[in-house]
Amino acid sequence: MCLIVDANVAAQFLAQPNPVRSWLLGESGSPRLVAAGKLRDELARHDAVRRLLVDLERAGRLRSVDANRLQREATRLGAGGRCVSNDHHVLALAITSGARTLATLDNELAQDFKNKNIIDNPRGSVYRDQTHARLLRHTPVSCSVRPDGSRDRRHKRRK
Amino acid sequence: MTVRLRFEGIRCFSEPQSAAIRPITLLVGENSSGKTTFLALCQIAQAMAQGATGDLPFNKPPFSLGAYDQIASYRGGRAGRAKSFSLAIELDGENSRSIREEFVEKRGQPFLRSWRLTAGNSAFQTKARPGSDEYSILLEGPGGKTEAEAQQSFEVEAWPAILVNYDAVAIRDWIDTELGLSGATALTESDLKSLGNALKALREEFARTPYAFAPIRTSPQRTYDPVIAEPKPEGPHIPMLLAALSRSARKQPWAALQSALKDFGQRSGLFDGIEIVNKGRKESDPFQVGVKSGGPAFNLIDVGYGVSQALPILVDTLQRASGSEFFLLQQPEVHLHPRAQAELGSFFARQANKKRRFVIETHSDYLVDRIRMEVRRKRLAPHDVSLLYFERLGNGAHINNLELDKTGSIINPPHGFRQFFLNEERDLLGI
Repeated sequence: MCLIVDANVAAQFLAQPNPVRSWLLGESGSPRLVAAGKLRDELARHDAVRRLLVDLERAGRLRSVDANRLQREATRLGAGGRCVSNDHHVLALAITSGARTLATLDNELAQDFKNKNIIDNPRGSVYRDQTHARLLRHTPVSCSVRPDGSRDRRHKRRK
Repeated sequence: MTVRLRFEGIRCFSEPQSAAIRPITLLVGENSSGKTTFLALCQIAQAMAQGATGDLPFNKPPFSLGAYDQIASYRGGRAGRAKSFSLAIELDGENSRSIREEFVEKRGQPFLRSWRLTAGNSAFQTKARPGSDEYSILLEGPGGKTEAEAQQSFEVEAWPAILVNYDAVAIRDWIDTELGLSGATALTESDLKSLGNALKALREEFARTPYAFAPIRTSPQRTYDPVIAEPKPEGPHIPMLLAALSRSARKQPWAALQSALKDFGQRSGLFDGIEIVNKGRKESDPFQVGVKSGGPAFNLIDVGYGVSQALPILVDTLQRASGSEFFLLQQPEVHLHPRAQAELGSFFARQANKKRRFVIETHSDYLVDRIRMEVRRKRLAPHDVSLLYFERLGNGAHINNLELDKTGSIINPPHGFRQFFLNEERDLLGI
């Protein structure tokens, strides 16, 4: 499953020994981290995370999305009044990329991410600690990108 | 339309391989995974497109594939050495067009067993008859097949030229004469015309002027004598070429080259300019190559080795601008600082187009990264770049065709791609 990591936990999940980092660097499955736009900028502020992003990018394990589409989606969410968090850019990234797993400890963001009215087909899942390790896997059904990089046409994008 | 190289049974590539060739084709992967063999095959493909049949340049410098036993894959066990190997150049599209040549062993050397030209449903194939130097001809069309024995005077080498240079009626006459088929073949005149056009299209895409650079360029000298130097992959001719240009009555070419070199030198941090320092008044007097870098010019031999290694690539690429070239490069980044390696990527991106192709074997992340950045900056389209990842597997080597999206990211990394680097990253932090 393509994974999004909230910038607030980037140091904890990406720059230190952690199942998330091990999965992203590991040999099993087809790990993919999704980061684009504002979230990518936030993640890259941390030196160790920036280095990891470069390695993942070179290995084809860092996914991005169209910046304009991401911005439009974030604006739409901001104007919709359905979100309790102010992390519209993270939610927009899930919607535009198809990634459905978010690593975060932010309760409001987690609540939005699991809100069926915001993220659906399939619904979002939140990774908080290693007890959620089952979420660290790539499945085309959940994120619409097959391990070979092709798009899963069955997955419908939200408009 | 995709330009493609297909081959099988060659060296470490025992299984069928297919690789897209684009304005910039990057060859990446571990040592001994077949990258240099692939470059040699590009040179051979160019000769095939020009009409060469049996006498292909398997050992034209800087590449040397050897005799049959060195070229054909060794599969081990009962399979042993491959009984044949093949190489094809192909244009994908609605109407696929290709030339495929297959070789077997004869007196230790590769011997042409078959030459096949395909255009959609039509094909013209020559095939050596076992145990003899004579050929049979197979004509395939939408309506069926015709096979006949060629007469003793039949020359395989002549057919590419015949199919390209003569009209369909004349070709039918040739076939009638050579095969005695009296027009009763599976190929109509329209089919023959399609085959001729296919050959022309393949020639247009592949038969470019090839220029192959050696992995290590020639060492610099303090002083050069202005002799006429043959262009060689190691670039020993470059100082003479620079001197000739600087002494030419036509000033513009030298000024343009100096400007282009200065541009690259400053972007890469290598130098501020290149000049020729004459050691006498006569054209036959010796000269030196000066490298400017913030002050008076230093002799080429007294500056970093990277300058003399990069100079042949820069000069030959800039000078060879006939508009249709096929540059084959082995590790252009050697001896260069990462800044200069990255700038080489931008240099190739600026030089490459549909007419000028660069096939670059590299171990430089900086060069590859920069070309991906050029895609992100829209200076290259994703379909202008072919990233070929050479992987050693149990049964030989395999080529993975990696595609870029419009942000320059790889969208289809195979399992295990760059796993070594990721492991190093993990181990470095003790994770």
